[in-house]
Amino acid sequence: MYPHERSLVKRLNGKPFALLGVNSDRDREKIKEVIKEKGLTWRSFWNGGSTQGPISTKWNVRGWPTIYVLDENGVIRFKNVRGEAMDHAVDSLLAKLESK
Amino acid sequence: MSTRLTLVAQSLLLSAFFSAAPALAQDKTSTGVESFEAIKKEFDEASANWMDTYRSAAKDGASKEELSKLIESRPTGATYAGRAIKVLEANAANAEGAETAVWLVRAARVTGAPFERALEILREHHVNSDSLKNLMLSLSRNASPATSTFLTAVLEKSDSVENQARACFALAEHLKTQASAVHKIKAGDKDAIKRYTASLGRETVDILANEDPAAIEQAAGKRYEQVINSEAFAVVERYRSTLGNHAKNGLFELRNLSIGKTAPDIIGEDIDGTPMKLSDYRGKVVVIDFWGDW
Repeated sequence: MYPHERSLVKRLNGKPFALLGVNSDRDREKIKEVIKEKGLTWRSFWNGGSTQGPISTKWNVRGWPTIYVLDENGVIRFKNVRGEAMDHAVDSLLAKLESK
Repeated sequence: MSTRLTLVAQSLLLSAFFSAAPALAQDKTSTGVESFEAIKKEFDEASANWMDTYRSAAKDGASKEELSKLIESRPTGATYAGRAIKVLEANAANAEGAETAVWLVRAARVTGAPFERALEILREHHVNSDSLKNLMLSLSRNASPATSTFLTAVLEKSDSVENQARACFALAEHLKTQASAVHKIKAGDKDAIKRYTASLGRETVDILANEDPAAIEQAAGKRYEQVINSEAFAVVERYRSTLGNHAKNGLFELRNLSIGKTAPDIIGEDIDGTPMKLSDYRGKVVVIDFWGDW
């Protein structure tokens, strides 16, 4: 996931776009290291150090990674799109937003 | 390296085949049909041999291409499905038939006609069987209309309250999966259509393309409510919790986290402890990624 997401974030730099993580790792210090090491520039919510944390529980997440794509109004437009499908989803929403 | 690996893989698979062959002859019953145990054993051995080959290849530093070639040679349930279906047909109404049908769906992961036939035999003869317990929940992520028919039959025909409860919950989850498949097919998501065509068949994908996802979601909601409102269903245990709790979470997801719904706000903090809100990102297209470094 990391290389794809890194290139997506880089490609859309300056566009009305944000990638937000919800991180469910146990060890906060360890994940800070990973973020630094792999050059993950986007922000992540902290899910309380567990896959059973408050955010993933409320969102009924049972598989990782789980992906949601929201439009500029916060409306869910795509779920669980990966790789190229994620790019298409984001690009189509950005095209709509920019043509307004 | 590649040739050597392929040869090793082939010889292992062949030896698995030959060592299993004499056992097969002995295991044939008076009806002339081999036993399910023999097929399962053969499949398990071939899978284990393949796994050993793959592991040692990976350890020896095989290239990505070599490894993906090996993955293609992995013994699949489909190879054994024809024989297992024969066993199933000969034993449709007895315990061996139930076991074979469950194996075909869960372990051999057959698709298309064998999948539909296995479910048909289970709903005709085995709606009270304990062997359905885990099978039903594993079908939650299957979008096929054959799954709807099967789970509905268990819910309506089983004498076992536990089977009814699991069927009802699995039906809700399955319908949610199906609605999401219909959304993706209608949106023309090429990757998803390719996946669904491989696992469900072209015909089923065409049928799903004409369904109304909102109606399917509504049907899913009714089944979740049925689990929540039935005391006997709600208390059935699952994953250190109950079907009632799982149904409440599932219903929340359906009502608030489906495509077309405004996402609920997330108010929390980031990994460094700085406060963070999803709604701060209004005006932007947002990808939310539930992730972990594992």
